[in-house]
Amino acid sequence: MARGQAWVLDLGSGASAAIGERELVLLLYDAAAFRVPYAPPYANRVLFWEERALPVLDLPVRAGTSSVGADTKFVAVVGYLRDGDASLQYGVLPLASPPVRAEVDDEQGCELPEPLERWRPLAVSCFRAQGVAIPVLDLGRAFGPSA
Amino acid sequence: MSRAPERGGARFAILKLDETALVLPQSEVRAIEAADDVVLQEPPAGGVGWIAVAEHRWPVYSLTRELVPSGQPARSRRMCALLGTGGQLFGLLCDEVEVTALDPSAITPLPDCMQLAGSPVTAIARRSGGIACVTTPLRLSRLVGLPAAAPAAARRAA
Repeated sequence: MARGQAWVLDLGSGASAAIGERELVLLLYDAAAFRVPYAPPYANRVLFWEERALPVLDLPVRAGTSSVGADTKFVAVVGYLRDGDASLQYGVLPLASPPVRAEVDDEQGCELPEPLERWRPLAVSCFRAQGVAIPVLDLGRAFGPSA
Repeated sequence: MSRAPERGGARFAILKLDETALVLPQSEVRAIEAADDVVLQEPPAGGVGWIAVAEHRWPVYSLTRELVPSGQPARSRRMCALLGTGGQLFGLLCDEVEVTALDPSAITPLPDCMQLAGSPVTAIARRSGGIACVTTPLRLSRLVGLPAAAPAAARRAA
């Protein structure tokens, strides 16, 4: 039975999602982000980190489960690989509380339940923890161009 | 017009629209006029009026801080920057024009997930206290709906 480590993210608005343990790079509190006009409502801010302008992605808005970004104080800097690009990319996810580490095994794997169907375009898989289904994010897709 | 302290790097003009700052190469700002000189009668479609410069008159447009064309400019728009797109010029009302140098390393492309079709923003420049949105006259002209070839746009000023 395969086991893996993940971080479960509290995205606010009652939404949770998970990323791989190596995808979390940094957790910041109350970091300043700057609004960018004429950008999608789910990605209209940037945060500067190590001389890079990183997109701040409101995932529930991106998934279509919320119309406004949640009131969040924490932000996670995440790293991921983009299709066809070997260089590591970075982005920012606002969080309502610090991420929680989780150990996940194959038996916890499940289908994405109907209430989470809107997360399908952003998820690679799903698992259950304490009875709650948690989508596992494909960060490359989440931070990629909108369909 | 304010002028920032001299530094290394290419020269840019920063047009301020409330809290939004637009960055263009300085060479693409052909002239800066007072907004009071804009003639408001018979404005072009989507625009606010006309400005006469060098014996020609050019259409003038206004944008909100969200970069949405507006036929009713905010009172803070006291300047009119004449921007060039090839041989076709147009005016954009703004609060302030700052000429400054920007280190190319301060400019980063707009991330994939932030790109919207029709957006005039191509990149983001970091500046003290915030950001500025890098754009081009061509993208701005498309945003305001300036016709690709507008014979009326370059009519000689009466």
